[in-house]
Amino acid sequence: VKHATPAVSPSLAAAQVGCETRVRHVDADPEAVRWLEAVGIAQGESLVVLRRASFGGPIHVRTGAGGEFALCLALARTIAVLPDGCAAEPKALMNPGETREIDGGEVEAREVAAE
Amino acid sequence: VSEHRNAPPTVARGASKVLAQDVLIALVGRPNSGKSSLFNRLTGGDAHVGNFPGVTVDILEGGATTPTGIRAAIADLPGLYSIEATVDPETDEGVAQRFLRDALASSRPFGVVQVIDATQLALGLRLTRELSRVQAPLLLVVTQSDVLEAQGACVDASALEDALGVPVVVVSARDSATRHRVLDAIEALMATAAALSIRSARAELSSDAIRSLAKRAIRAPAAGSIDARAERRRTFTTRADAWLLHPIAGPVLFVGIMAALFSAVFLVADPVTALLDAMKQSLSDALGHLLGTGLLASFVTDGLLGGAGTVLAFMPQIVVLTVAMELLDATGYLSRGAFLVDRLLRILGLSGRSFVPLLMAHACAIPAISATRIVRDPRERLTTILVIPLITCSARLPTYALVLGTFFATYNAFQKSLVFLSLYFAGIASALVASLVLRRTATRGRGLPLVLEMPAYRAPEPRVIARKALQSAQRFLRDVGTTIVAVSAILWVLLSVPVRSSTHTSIEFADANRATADAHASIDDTPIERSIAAFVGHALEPLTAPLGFDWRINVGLIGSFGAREVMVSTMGVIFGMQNAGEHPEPLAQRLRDATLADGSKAYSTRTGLALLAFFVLACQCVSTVAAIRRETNTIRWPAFVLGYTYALAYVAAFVVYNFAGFLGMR
Repeated sequence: VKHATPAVSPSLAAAQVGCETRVRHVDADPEAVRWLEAVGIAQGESLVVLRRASFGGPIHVRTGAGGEFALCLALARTIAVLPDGCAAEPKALMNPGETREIDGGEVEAREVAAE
Repeated sequence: VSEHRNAPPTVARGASKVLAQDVLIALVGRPNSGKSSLFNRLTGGDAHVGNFPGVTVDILEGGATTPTGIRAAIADLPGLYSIEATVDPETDEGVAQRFLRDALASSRPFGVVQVIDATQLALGLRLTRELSRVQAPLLLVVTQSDVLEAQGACVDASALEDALGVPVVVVSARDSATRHRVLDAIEALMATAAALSIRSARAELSSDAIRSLAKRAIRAPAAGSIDARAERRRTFTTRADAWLLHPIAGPVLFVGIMAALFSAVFLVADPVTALLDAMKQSLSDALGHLLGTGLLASFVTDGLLGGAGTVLAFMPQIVVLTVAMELLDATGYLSRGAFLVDRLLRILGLSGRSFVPLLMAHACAIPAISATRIVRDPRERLTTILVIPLITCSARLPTYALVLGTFFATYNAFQKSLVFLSLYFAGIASALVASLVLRRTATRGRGLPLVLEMPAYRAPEPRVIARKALQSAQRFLRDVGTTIVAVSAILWVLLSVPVRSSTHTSIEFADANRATADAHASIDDTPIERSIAAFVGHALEPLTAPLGFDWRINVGLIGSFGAREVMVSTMGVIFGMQNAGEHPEPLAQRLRDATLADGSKAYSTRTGLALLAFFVLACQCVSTVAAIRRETNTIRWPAFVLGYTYALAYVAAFVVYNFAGFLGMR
């Protein structure tokens, strides 16, 4: 799994617990993207973060199809999401061109066309 | 391994009454979809591991006959999410993909039955979309209809059939009529298989269309009632998770549950093991009376029955462990436990799923190696299997006790317990370091990202669990038991068959309370001194002298290759002691007093430390080796384990012995 190079969208790893988000894209190799699609984590699908394990452990999400999954943080970082349904985290809101450290990695915000 | 991978699916003959010309039906479904229950219903619980492609994943197979007499071989594929995206060819998806590809390539009539949980239709229909693209007859079996009915709803099979273009049967796996209904449908499916035009009717559905279809296909009498009931079920899981996955209460409960599981495996298994041991002893006594006291009697009672006794000693543990694991898995808790400890094990290149086997290994490596089946990532699973022999198991304890009692007799209880504790930590530390090293060398490669399904909590089905326990017992008997008995017989030959006439050795005892002549007499009367093992022990002395080991310790190590605890009784035989296993203190005294030809002490505290270092690391357990061979389906990895653990053990014993000498220890 490659590490995320997210655009303006925050990664799932940064999403707030209890918030419903929508997957913007998955930045992993094609096989992993297809496999995630099979479990219900794909572009356009909604996700709710239910909880996070301690010390940077996995995050527990519920997919739009009703399944619940635990995803390791490295994988969650490859899933770019759009804030949806509740206020985004302050750190998720970035201006295009701005760089910021999120989850141990430097992230540069890019302009993304609205869907 | 590679032959297996490329071989067309063939079927083991005989035991399950499945014939190679039978129609082959693959049962496919997501984990927790009710597939195992349906397989159990269709085959009546009569199943065996089929001779199908696959390295670490067993594909169970059982026979069934349709109402008009068509014989079908039902293959229970591992639970999977996709047959198109495999991520790694060794995962369950990869195995299933190869199976389907090979089945399609063979001339044998072949069909696919997908099992879908009615309560999670939208999830299952994603896999249906992929299976629809497979060029084989497809039947959809929607299970858990009873759960849905209890919620006042039902599945609209016609809506599914119209939308998907495949036949649909709605059943409850707990209902006795299920078997006939599904076999009827399979018969109809295969009868129309020639007219594969049905495929053209199969629709390609988008994710939105699948969601919409899943909603449409559930008929609820009162609008919203199904959602309300499903929500209540989800609420129960949510409430339970609030405790079981709580940042503080969760780990505490997890440790409690693991402790209970750990205790259950051994508390429940121990009385059964004791009973089996008593039965084995009675049989051994009876055979002893019948066969007398010659070599044949010794071979039958000590060699063959001894090996069989080792197999039987492990059987209760294997069965209880399987039941415990299946309970954890079927209830949905296993994923929760993995969720809690995943971060900790990530540091070592493993994941949360490896925790249970590593924990079990502190009691015994054999059930722990079986328990690695819960690890989904093939490389991670292999790593876990390879490091399990380093964990301090209970069989090391008698040897540790003997060595501590012998070479640390002058140390106080606190110091001894410190040494004992450090031995345990040395086992854990060596396993952790080995895991880190292996993940960067022998088992390196991309690890699978953790994606654990967290299913709703559910009551397990006793029949399914009983069947799995029976299968694991059969598998253990067949694959591990035979190896153990064979190696026990070989070890008996090494330790008992004389290769030369009695000769005097340099062994002498400085025990002031015993006459030297008596000591000589007891040694000369011991056949082991004239055995092949003694010959090998002498031959190995140049190699083991730098560790402080003489031929007697070498023989003890050879004898304990069968099982570590045998070291004590083997040393007892060498030093002419009866029942050294039960009463090791006199043996410890003799070991302390043993001298070389020049009258100097044969062993010292340094020898004891080197011996402990050797035992911490060496895989002195044929059962473990056999279990690794069984789980990896090759002799390469057991050979690797023997190679690396013995190399580590030798180096560690050498360093400890010489470093202790450097520090002035004698």
